[in-house]
Amino acid sequence: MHAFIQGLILGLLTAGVYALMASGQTLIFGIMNVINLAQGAMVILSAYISYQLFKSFGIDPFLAIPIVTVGMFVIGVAVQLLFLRPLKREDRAELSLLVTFAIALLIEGIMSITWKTNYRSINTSYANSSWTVFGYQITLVRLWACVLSLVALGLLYVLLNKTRFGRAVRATVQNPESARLLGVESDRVAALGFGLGSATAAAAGSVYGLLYAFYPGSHYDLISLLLSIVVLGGLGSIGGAMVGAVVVSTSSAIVASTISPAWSAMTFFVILIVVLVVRPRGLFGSTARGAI
Amino acid sequence: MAPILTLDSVFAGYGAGDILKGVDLQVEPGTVTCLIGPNGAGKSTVLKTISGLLRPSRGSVMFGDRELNRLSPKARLLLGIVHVPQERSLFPAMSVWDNLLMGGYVIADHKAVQERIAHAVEVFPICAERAREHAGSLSGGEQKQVELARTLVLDPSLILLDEPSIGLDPKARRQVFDSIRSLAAMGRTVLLVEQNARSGLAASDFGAVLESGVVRLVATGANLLNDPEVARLYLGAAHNSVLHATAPANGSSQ
Repeated sequence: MHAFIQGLILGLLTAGVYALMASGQTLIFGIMNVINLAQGAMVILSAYISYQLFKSFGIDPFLAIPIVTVGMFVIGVAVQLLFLRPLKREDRAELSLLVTFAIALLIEGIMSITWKTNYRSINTSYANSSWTVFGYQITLVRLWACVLSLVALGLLYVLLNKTRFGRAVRATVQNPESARLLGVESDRVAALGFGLGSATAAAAGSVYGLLYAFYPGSHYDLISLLLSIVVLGGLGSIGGAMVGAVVVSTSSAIVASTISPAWSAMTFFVILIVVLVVRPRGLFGSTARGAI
Repeated sequence: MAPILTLDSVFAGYGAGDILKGVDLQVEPGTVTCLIGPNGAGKSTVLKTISGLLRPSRGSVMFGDRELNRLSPKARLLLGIVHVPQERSLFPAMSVWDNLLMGGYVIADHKAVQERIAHAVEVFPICAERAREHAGSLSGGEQKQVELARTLVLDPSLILLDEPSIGLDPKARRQVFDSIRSLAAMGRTVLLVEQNARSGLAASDFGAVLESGVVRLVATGANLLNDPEVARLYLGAAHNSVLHATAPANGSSQ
């Protein structure tokens, strides 16, 4: 039982970071009908930038988040303008898979040249600090990572639900033609939305670098994990991505701590297959374009 | 009275060829005009060409004395031209209130938006009653009322309605056509496309018959309802035949 609860705690603390990464992925799909295979590479690139800021200037990765987030927002907008906007609307869903995969490979290449291909990790002074509560260990870094991810998700919620831009994004997701007829410039919303999705990858990436060792090829593992979360929750649903992240993260952590870490990675794929058999659109997906 | 909208030999389509093949149409201010015709005649394409979703390849679209051809949909909105597309045009997972706010998306003055929403809610009280509910949870008729209320937020001079009664039960359909008449009573001009030709013409001051991308006939709604040829082709069973060969090429004047 102790191992089960310890696994549950670990899973819940990690879920916030996964939810943050996946929310960007699902937001981009909701706005543009684009499955961004470069989201994992953007997370790893952000981890590398945080690593470099820490190594060269001693900037704590948590404090580096605003810098990395703004930088990745700009890169995201540029990627959308240069590579995705030229795609014809009717071919965008299919061609974007190739284009975003090419962007992922490009980012991987840049990271390999810049930082080489060996594993890196960000070792802060508090990296190994932890609290023991009722006999259960809570790692300080994971706790802060979770809190920060929840704050970022909260800000994303406020942005999408309480601002004019957010209303335009939600309107574009739910009924693009109608949004356009009301004066929403869909190209502008798509560019800013892609930037926003990249910014969530940046915030999550800075934290990811604190939790795990990484190398340029880490994005392959990450993108399969992110796609599983997004598909599990239902494509286009941020709430679904959050629930998907909790399911994936806690199930693999519990299996790792109670059975064996070797079975951990397989666990969420089993859950994914079961959910898709029972509910092919994922937990919160719908036939119509719905809420994000 | 000078027409508020003039289409002069308008050609437009989606790339594989023109659907509109020289549409001529004039719409008087403060009136309701109903476009009828068989499926594929280009009725919705006419509305899209006016709202800017499509650009004409030839001809001109004039709003008063201003040519619209080169203006973006947003610029046309700001001139007071609102297009309510076919089927449901609300944002189903947003609240009714947020849908109304989206109606004023292009208006920078937040206070003006709130005032217009207050006016729209007076005309369509359902919006206040269901303000916090998701628009998608409303019945078809209620959603149509919210759509019409949302158009009022833009304080439009010209409202383009594509199949406003589609999918509605008879009671909701009557409500929608009553609302359209009250919009005209407020001085707004309405151009609507309606598959249910009898109801559409009955609620309209004028009607125009569009066939194969050309306006074949223009007359008052009442005259078109009483025209035996129109009745045979469009007011009875569905029919895809062309109008009688003796119909005037550009219709009678309004």
